[in-house]
Amino acid sequence: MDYSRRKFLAGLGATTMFATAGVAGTSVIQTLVIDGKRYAMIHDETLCIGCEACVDACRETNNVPEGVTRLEIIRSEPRGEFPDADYKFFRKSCQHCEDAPCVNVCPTGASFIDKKTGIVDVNSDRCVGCMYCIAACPYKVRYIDPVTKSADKCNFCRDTNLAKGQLPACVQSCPQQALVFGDLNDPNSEIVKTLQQKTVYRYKKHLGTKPKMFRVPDLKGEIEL
Amino acid sequence: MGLLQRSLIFISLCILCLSSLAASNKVVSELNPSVPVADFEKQVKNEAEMEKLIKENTRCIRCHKVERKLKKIAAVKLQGAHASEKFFNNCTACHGDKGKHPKDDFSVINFSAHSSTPLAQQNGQCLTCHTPVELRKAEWTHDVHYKNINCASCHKLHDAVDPMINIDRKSRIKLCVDCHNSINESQGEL
Repeated sequence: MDYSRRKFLAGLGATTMFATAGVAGTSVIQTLVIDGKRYAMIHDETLCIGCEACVDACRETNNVPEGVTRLEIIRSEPRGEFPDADYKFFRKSCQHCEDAPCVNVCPTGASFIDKKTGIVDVNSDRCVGCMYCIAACPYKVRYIDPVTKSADKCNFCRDTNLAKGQLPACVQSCPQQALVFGDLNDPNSEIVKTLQQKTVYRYKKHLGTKPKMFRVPDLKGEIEL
Repeated sequence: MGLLQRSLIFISLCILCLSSLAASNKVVSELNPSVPVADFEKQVKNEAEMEKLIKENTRCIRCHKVERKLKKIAAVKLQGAHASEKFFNNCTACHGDKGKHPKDDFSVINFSAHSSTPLAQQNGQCLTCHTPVELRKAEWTHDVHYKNINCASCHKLHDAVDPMINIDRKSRIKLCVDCHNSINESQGEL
């Protein structure tokens, strides 16, 4: 009796493990093998003026409903006194981590890294809305879309502007050219050249998620890493 | 006797009500910093000063009330918040005394990007009433533009409604984008 129950439980465990590995397997494979492009972005905080043109451009291009946003520009408290006060701006959006926690925790494989571009994206058809990815993301950039009820976030306009061969909407709309987008694997791309010229930092780099959002620090204040 | 008593009580109640109403009005204006106190008591302290103010402004109005085609002087009419009763059409409060105007270019303070009045002096005029705290509260961009562009680049005081009042998000962003684009294209020279 004992033996048979143990056997039954062990068998059950093996079956579930096999089943989950089967589902998650696709996302793991897509996480590990990136061939072709490795898209990344630079936000130059010394050039940014905090106009939020990028936020509106993103909303229009990707049909992001009101109440949620893929992109935020966070303005610091004023530094200094009037009339010499100025502000620091921080771009809060998906970092397109190479080792993305949101992808690793997704139970259905809806969150994935696109192997052609290295872009972290969400397949809304597979998402069940468990919000595990929202909890796992150290950058707090994910939300549940009130229309599709799926988790969503910035995907570098993968299905909109990039598909048409254009730059992401935020990059196009920036009046200061504070955003640089490009392929890290291409040594002649603008982003690689900019990375060679400017000092950059990555937010929460120590977590080891290998974020691909680089920032040129506005050196008048402290740098939060 | 009863009638007299009753009327006395009525009158005292009226006075009480009125005084409390006045007090509450005062509290409202003190609590709302977005409405700057148009305090022309600062300028006009006595009868003589009032007379001088009227005299100065009469000189402005004499030329500027109608369009003069010969010398191409447009008619100027102050509208909007700055034309309120408290302000009593006081040209000199912002533009300064007439001096030798129009014989020279610098006696009267002019508010424009190409004015002979220095930028700091132009913006300083606004700051006499609008405090930095109020300005920051109304719009953070005041902090970063005050030393670089004149207030009149965005604000129009002679219009019925200042275009910056209740500006919607789209127009506001467009203003930022257009201006900063033009600066970048002209490489810093406006």
